[in-house]
Amino acid sequence: MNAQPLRELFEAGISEDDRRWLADLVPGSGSATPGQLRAAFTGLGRRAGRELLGPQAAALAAQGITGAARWDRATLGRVALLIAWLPTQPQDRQVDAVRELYLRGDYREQVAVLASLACLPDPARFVPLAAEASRTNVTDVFAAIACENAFPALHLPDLNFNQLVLKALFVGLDTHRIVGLPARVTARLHRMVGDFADERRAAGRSVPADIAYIQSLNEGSER
Amino acid sequence: MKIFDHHVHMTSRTTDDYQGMAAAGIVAIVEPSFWLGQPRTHVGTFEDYFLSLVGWERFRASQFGIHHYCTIGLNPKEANNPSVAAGVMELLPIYLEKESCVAVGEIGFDDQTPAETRYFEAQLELARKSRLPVLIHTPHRDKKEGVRNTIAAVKASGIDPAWVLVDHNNEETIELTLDSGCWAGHSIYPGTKMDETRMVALIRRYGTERITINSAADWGISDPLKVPKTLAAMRSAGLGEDVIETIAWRNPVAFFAQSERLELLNKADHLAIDQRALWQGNSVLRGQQPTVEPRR
Repeated sequence: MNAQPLRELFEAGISEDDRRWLADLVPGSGSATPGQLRAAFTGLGRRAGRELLGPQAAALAAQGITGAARWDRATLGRVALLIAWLPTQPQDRQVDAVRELYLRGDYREQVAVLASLACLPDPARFVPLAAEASRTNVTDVFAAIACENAFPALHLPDLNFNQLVLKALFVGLDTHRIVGLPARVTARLHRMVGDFADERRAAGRSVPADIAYIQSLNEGSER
Repeated sequence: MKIFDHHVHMTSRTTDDYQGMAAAGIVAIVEPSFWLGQPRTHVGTFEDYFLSLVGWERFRASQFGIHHYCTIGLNPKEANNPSVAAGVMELLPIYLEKESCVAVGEIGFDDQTPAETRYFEAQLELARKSRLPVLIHTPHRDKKEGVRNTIAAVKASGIDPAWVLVDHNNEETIELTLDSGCWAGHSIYPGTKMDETRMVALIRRYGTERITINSAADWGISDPLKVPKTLAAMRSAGLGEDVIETIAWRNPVAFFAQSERLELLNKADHLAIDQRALWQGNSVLRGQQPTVEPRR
């Protein structure tokens, strides 16, 4: 993906001071060291703020970026940085570099890493990271991989994808927000969701309405 | 009344504590990085600790409606450990950039060794460069001399004393600290440090300007409700509501707001609680009904 429009979109919304700060750490040519990238990625949290993108999200959707309507300005900046920077790194360092950024981020940074995954070159390399993120207990981080994110349905194996759907049910996320869920429904997922409903009934608890939604979807084939 | 406990080590506390704190009116806390009761043997364990302060612990606090901020620093005890100290210093510039980090701290003196002095000075310089306030621990042993040395280091650094909070003061040190232009913090503790009654007497004598209180609760015998308990003692002693609110909220907010990273002033009193995420298979709730409050 070409990151230049993303960075331009982002830079239009920050102060001259912050543009200079960013250009010092990460020049447009993308030749930053991992340490510089990390400092810029972290520092954007305070400098770019939490204002949601609003209408700008439509421009991103046109480029095939899902979920930008829920991004704040810092997330846009971080996604733009990561997409531009990663290809400048040696091929055999790229997976570790993304993982480092995730592991050493606070949760808003982690959200931005996960939002970037589907836009990075050769995204299937990041399956282990996405699977790890799907196990987080921090709600916002889990939502960043599970919801409005094209990555899980495109790349996660059945085991991880099914676990992600079950966890979304557990934590009460609207499973309509899982991109590409209908195409990933299998007999196994139906069985898991049905068992979960039985477990809830046996415990005298309510059954999430989304279970009926998933059960109403037709099964595809496992992969 | 909104309460801000600006020094409490929640990583060492339970969810019962969080519930009690929220019920007592605590809506914001600062968790300073400190030592964990035993020496760390790797720089990596420091990094994971810093990450939990900006990550999991912050999330845990939010589940009880409490805003969680932290301070990041190399604590004085472990400044004496050459196998980790230099490596931790290399981590600081990145962790001081984290958005929930509102000060450098807790730094200062423990045994008052040359290594402690060196790292204290280096971190004062980092605070100046990062435009962050400083939270300073003062020693238990040879305390008065420790406070004098602390103030001398602050003066020599060129940092504005209004950006420095010298903590764990008592009757013997408060004048030294206030005269220096620094803020004077007081940790209210069962048994050691300050207690509620003595704190009431200090406020009667010195007023409220640049004076704060905190629980400094940690993994030892300590009490995360000491701030509300002290406020109650102030009320029983007949101190006015304006004085109480200044100590409970305005002063710690004014000090840490200098970081420009406190978001408390423009937000509702406390975070809207949404525990639905946690009602099964999670380390905060264990099958209870989740509490969900409307977003404000």
